[in-house]
Amino acid sequence: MSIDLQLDHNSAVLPHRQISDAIRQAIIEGKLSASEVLPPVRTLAQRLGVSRATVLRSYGDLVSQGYLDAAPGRGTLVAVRSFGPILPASPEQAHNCQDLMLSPYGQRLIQGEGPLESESGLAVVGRPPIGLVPINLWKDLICKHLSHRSDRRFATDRDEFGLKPLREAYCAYVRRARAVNCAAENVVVFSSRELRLNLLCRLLLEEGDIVAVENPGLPRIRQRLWTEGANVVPVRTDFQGLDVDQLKTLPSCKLVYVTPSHNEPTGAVMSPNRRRKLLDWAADTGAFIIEDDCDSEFRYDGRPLPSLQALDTKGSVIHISDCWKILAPVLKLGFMVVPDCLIEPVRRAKAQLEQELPAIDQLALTDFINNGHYEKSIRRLRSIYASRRKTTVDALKRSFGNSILIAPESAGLNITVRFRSTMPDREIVQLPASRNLLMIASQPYYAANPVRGEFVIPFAQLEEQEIAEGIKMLSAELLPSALE
Amino acid sequence: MARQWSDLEKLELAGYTTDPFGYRPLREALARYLNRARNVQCTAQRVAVFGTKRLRLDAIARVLLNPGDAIAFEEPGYPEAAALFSALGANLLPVRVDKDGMVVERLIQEFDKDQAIKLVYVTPSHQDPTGATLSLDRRYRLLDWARENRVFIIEDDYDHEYLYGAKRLPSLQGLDAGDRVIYLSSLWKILFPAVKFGFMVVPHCLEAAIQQSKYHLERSMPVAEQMALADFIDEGHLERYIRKSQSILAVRRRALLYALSKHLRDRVIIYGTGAGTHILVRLKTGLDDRQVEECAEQANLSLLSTRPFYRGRSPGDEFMISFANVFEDTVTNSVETFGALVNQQEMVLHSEPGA
Repeated sequence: MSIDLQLDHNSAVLPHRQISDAIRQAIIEGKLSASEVLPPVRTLAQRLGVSRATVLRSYGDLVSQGYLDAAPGRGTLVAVRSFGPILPASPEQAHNCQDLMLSPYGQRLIQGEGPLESESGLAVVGRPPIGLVPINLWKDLICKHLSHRSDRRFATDRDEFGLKPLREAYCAYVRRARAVNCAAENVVVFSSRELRLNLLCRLLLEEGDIVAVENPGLPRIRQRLWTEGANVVPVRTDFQGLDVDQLKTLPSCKLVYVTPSHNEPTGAVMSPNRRRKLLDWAADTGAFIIEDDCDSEFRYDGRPLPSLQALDTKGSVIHISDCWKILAPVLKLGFMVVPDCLIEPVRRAKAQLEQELPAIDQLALTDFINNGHYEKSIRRLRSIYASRRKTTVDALKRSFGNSILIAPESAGLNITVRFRSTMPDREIVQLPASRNLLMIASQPYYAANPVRGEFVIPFAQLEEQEIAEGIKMLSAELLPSALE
Repeated sequence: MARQWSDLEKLELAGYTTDPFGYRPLREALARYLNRARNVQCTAQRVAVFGTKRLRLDAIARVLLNPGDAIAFEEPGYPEAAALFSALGANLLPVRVDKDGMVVERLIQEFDKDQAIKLVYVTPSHQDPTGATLSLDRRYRLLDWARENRVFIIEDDYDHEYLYGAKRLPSLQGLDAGDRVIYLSSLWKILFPAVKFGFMVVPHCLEAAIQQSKYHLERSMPVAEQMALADFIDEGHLERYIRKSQSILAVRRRALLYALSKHLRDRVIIYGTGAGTHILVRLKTGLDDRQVEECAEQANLSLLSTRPFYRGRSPGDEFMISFANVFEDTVTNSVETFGALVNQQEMVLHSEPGA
């Protein structure tokens, strides 16, 4: 035999498997050629110091896999067949992939603007700090439900909208907390937050349809809608929220994505007047409104306005929210409340994507909400964030005085500030102090004409001491560069 | 799991949202496991963890298929995948399956010229419902053809874990030298419903596109489960558990086969018994498939018609009987009751006027 077979006696791989792997590899690499006769079982067994049964087993495996033939009277030989090389495709070869023939969607995906959001500072902004997740409580709930293996819901409830008890609990919660007008039938549970928008786009849009978004507004939303093939039109958004008059000038708009309870980065809350106008517009045109109710939990100056959905009588609003800000990274479920007319279409679309959601997570979250932990966690986080925010504002005022503008809205996990400086924005965010503060420029939030000198500080991520020190340091690094 | 939870607190910002393909140590554990068990050739970089099985097919199909594009599909074959591809506007081309799996020769002969095929969906380890394994010869032919014609192959390695006597062939992915195979696997047969993740090994050339596609479907997944699963694999529990359940399943399978031949005798032809958690049978009865299913349900026997697996005409009288939850002591009773119910139904039919 023209190969040198060696056994590794310390390997976890059994000897017979080692022998057959080596012979197979040799055949594939052409070291053993077609019709070449393998050593007799006894000879090979002696040479390798294994039993004959071991060698027999290897040969037998390879015969049944088609690599070897057993020829009576001649022994065991390599089968007559061309075996391609088993060498894995090399990366060089892989990057020769101009002619991939991707779908238009696939092409948009790889042409997408710049790196994934997660590679920029934006991923940090809006993320809850890990240290504040109620880990032990969550662990207890998970363990409790894991040990209830007799629970029939565990295996039998196959509702693609999620477990009924969870939908009921969530329904009660959003009615209570956000005045959302819904029944459990309108509530849809998703295994990931991203899937909601993905599904809605497929269901509601054709390629090239106009979708209005806030400007400034969440950059990832613009990117996602564009990838789905939408014609994304940014609409001016000021301190009263989205400018509905400008929206009305669009020729035909099928869908609008708004964050009425808290615009990122300006912090604006949509005014009651604009809410009314937006709903009237939707009722007239038949457009749908996606209300992203993010950050509604985190207002630091009194009760938030009820959701936009609460005012909707025509079934135009799709309300989305999630428990991400409370339970990430242990739980990533997303929720959507759909108007009656969309229940059936969404059910069908969702059945294509996910039919079953993690049962234990859903049961644990049901308890978490029903036992009041959910709202307790929000209150706890809110008071922590409120004091972190106050520290931030105080420190900024102390260090920068009149040379800084702080967005007035007291909500969310980030704070938006403007300073006037001769230093370019991209240099400012590279300052050691900016990096300690996780501060980023607000530029990505703008579809066009970003505001120079505007920055976002994710204060919720930072301990109060870090904030105070960071801001002091920032002023020391910035002030010499002529803050006017 | 306690360790994972305390790790979590130390996780800091260590990338729980930075990579849409999932928690890195889990991907490394999977790369090693899939190499050990299935000869899959890859680094963790190309292993993607998905929250559910369906999202994997969706991610691939949307990236590659235009409405009307063709995808070769086993006939009979996995109905869920067929429904998903059809809903995305793909044109399904049925390719017959025989005892050596998809008839690749036929695929090459018939479809090569007339129609551009973008994708082939194939289940080489254990074809559902026939139980066939794609022969080595066909594996190579399929790979060569795919490389020459720039077609991607989705290898759904569903149900590769349990084999009874049959020999295990290396995965298509492990034999692929053309960067053509998108390999799918999951632990559904083993850890459902505790673990619902689905895994994908992406060819080099699709890495960027699938990564973006994943990002738009689910940017990140719960991290504790991923940590636990990584340890479960690395500490050898997975393979131990597969071995253990394989021996339990082998007993159940034997009990079912014995009961079938004892109580249904020449009513039943058994085939496709080499792998997985069900056997395929043909039942000779005077009833339609629905009635047979009803009798089985009453007798507590988990039997399903293979009708949904056919896009063309189904042969009828063909059923899958699962032995996953069969108990040795009750299965004989179930099969006997089932036989009696079938007899009874046949009598009712015959006694009806005009029958």
